[in-house]
Amino acid sequence: MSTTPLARRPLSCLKASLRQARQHKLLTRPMATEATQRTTTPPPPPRRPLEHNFFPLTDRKTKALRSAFAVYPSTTVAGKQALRPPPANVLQSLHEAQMKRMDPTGARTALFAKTREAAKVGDVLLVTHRRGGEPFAGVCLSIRRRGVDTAVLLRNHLARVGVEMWFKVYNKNVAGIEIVKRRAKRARRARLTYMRQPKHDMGSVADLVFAWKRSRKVFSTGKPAAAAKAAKGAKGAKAAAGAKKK
Amino acid sequence: MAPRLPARCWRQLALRPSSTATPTTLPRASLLPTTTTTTTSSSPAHHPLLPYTQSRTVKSGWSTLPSRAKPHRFNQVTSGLPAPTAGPAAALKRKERSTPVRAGVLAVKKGMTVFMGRTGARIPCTVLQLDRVQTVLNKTRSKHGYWAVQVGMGERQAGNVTAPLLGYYEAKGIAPKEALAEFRVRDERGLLPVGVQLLPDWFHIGQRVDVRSNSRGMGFAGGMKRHGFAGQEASHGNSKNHRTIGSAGPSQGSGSRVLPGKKMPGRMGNQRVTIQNLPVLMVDNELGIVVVKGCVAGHKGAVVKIQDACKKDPPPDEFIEKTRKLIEERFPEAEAHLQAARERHLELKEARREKRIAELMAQGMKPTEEQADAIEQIIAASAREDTAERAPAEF
Amino acid sequence: MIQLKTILNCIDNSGAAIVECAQIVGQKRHASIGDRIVVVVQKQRGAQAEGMASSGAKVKRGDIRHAIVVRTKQRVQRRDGSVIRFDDNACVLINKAGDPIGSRVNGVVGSELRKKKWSRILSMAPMQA
Repeated sequence: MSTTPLARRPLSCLKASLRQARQHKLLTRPMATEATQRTTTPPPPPRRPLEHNFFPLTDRKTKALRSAFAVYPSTTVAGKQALRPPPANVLQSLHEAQMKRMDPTGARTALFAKTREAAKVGDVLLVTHRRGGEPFAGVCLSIRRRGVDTAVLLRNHLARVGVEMWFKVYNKNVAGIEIVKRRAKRARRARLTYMRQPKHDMGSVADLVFAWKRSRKVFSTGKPAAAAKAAKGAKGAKAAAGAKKK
Repeated sequence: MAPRLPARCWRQLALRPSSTATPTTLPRASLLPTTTTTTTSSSPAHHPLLPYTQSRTVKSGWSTLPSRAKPHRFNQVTSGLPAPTAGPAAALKRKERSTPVRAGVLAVKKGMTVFMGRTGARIPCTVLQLDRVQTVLNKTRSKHGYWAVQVGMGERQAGNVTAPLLGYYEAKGIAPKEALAEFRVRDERGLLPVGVQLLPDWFHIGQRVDVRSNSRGMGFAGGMKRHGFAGQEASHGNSKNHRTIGSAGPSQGSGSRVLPGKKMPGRMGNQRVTIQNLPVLMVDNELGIVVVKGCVAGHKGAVVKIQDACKKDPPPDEFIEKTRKLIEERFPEAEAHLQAARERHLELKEARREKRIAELMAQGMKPTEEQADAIEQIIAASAREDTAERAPAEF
Repeated sequence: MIQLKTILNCIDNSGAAIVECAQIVGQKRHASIGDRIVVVVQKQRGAQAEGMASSGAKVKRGDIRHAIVVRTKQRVQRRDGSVIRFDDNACVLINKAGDPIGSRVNGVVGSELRKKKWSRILSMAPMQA
C-alpha cells in the first residue's frame, strides 16, 4: 500500500514537469529568435527625427536642474501632424445643422426668434398637424427656446375642458404654426402660467380662430379653395407669411 | 510561473532509481532539455527538472497561473481532474464572452440634444466628443495577466504631470494626456498599435455601445434622498425627526448591532455608472463626436468611456477589419515612432542617471524659446555653483 | 397619475358623474390615458332626487365598475415630443368585456386611446386632442 503512492507521486510530478518544460521551451524559443534578430538587423531609423521639447524639473530651493523629461508636442501622433483639438461648440453646430434640415426656409426660426415680428407669449397660435387631426389653437403660455428642441405651450378649452399642449416647433409632425391674434400689450412675464387660474383664464379661442379664418378668406380674393387649403394646412413658409400679414 | 516541485518529490526519484515505478520515467527524464539528469540538491532553483522562472518580485507582476499548491496526485494536470473553475485563468475564460473584442475610446460628455426624425420621431441623445484619443499601452496576458488597451485623451500641461508619468509618456513618444483609461479586450486580436489616434469612426452608426462614467456628485445626502427612505411623519407628535432614517436595526436578541451594509446617509453620486446597449446615432470625424441615444451619467464635461456593448454581438468582422485598416493607413509610422521614442527614452534615462541631462538639453531637441531661456538660466546657475566650489547641485 | 382614491369625472351617459378609483388593472402604480381601472360610482348624474334619477341611469351610486381613463391632469408625452395635459381627470365606464356602458361620450378625450386599442371610445367622443 505504502509503496504505490510513493511510486506514483514522483511519476505524476515528473510528467507534469516534463510537460511544463516542453511548453516552456516553446514559449522561450520565439523570444530568443526575436532577440537575435534584433541584434543582427538594427531597426530602421524613423523617417523624421523625433521632435520634442524638454520639461525641466528644478529643485525648489536651489533652483538647480534636477532632471528633465522629453515632452512630445500634443499635436502630433506617431510623428505625423494629425491631432488637433476638436471644435468646442459642437452642440451649437449640431443644433444649427438640424434646424437647417428641419426648417430649410427659416420660417420657423423666424417665427420664434427674439424679434418684433416673432410670436410672443400671450399670442394666440394655431398649430397644424401633418397627419390628420384637428389643428390645435390656443394662447401661448410659454416658449422654451432650446435650438432644435424649441417648443411652445398652448392652452385652450375644448368642450369646456382646459387642454394644454406642448409642441416641438421643428418637428415634422407640426406642419405649420400661424399667429391668429397678437396680444394687445406685451406680456410682462416670460411664462403666463397664471392664465391657468379661473380668474385669468382666456377660455376657448375658437371664436378668435373662426374670425381669423373668415378674415383670411376675405383677404384672399377670388380663391376660396386655395384660401381654405391655406387655412387648413399651412406650411412653414406660409406661417411666416401669416405672421407678416398680421 | 509553473508550479515548482518541492525537493522531496524528485529526491526519491534520484535516490531510488531501481524502484518499481521509476524505470518508465527515467528515460523520459533523459529527454529533458537540460544538460544533466543527475540531481544536485543544493537549491531547487537550479534543478534541471524545474522550469526556468525569473525570480518573483513585486515587479514581476501578477501571475495568472494557478497558485503553487502542494503537489498531490490530485492537483496535477495528469490526474484527470477537470480544469479549475476558480482563479485568474478560469476567470478570464469565464468572462471571455462578455469581454468586448475591441478596445473602446475615452470621450467628454458635451451635453444632450435631440434628433428630429423625418417621420416625426424625436430621439433625445447625448453628444460625446473625442479629444485626441490615443492608445498608450497594450496590456498582455503574459505580462499583466489580462488583455487590455490603455487609452489616453486630451492634453495635460507637463507641469501638472508627475515625474514618473513624464517618463512614461516620454517612453511612448506621446504628449501627456488629460485622462487615461484601460479597456479590457477578449484576446490579443484586440490590441492596437501604440500611439495611434482613435477617431469617432471607430464606431459605426447603429451599433450598441456601453457608456461608463461617474455620476454627478450629490454630496452628503440623507437617507430619503440617497436610498428613497420614506422619512417620518410631519405631525402626530413627531419632534424634529421628519427626514431621519429611524432605527438602524433590531435590538437585543438580534445582536444589538448594525448589520453590515445598512443603508445610511452618506456621500451620494460620483459613482461609476454604466449605461448598457446605447445605440450610436451619429459619428463625425470632423466634429470629433459620437452621438448616442438616450442619456449618460455625469455632468457636462465628464469623462466617459465608450466601448462595444458587452451584452450584444461584437460589430461585424468586416467592420473591425475596416477600422484596423484605417488605423494602419492613417498611422503607418506608429511602430517606428514608438521604437525611436523608446530608444530616445533609454538614452535620456541614461543621461539622467549620469546627470548629464543638462548637456543633452543644451544640445537641444528644439526647445521653445521660453524653455530655451529657462534652460540657459538653469545651466548658468548650476555653472555658477560649480565655480563657487559648492556641493554639486542635487540632480 | 390615477391611483387609489383618485376622484375622476365620468363623461359618458351611463349615469355616473363622479367616480373614485379603487384599483388599477394590471401591474401598474399609476394609470394614465387609455389604462383600465376599477372605480366606485360616487355620484349619479342629475341626482337632485336620488330615487328618480336611477330610472334612466345604467349605474347606481356605490356600484363597482371598470373604466378607461380618457383625460389626465398629469402630462402625457408623445413620440414626437409633444405633450398633452388636461385640466381634469376623466374616465368612461365599461363592462367586464370592455364595451362602453354608456352610448355617448361628452367632451374631449386623449388620442392615446387609439394606441391602447380603445378606438371604440375614441369614435364615440366628439373630439380628441
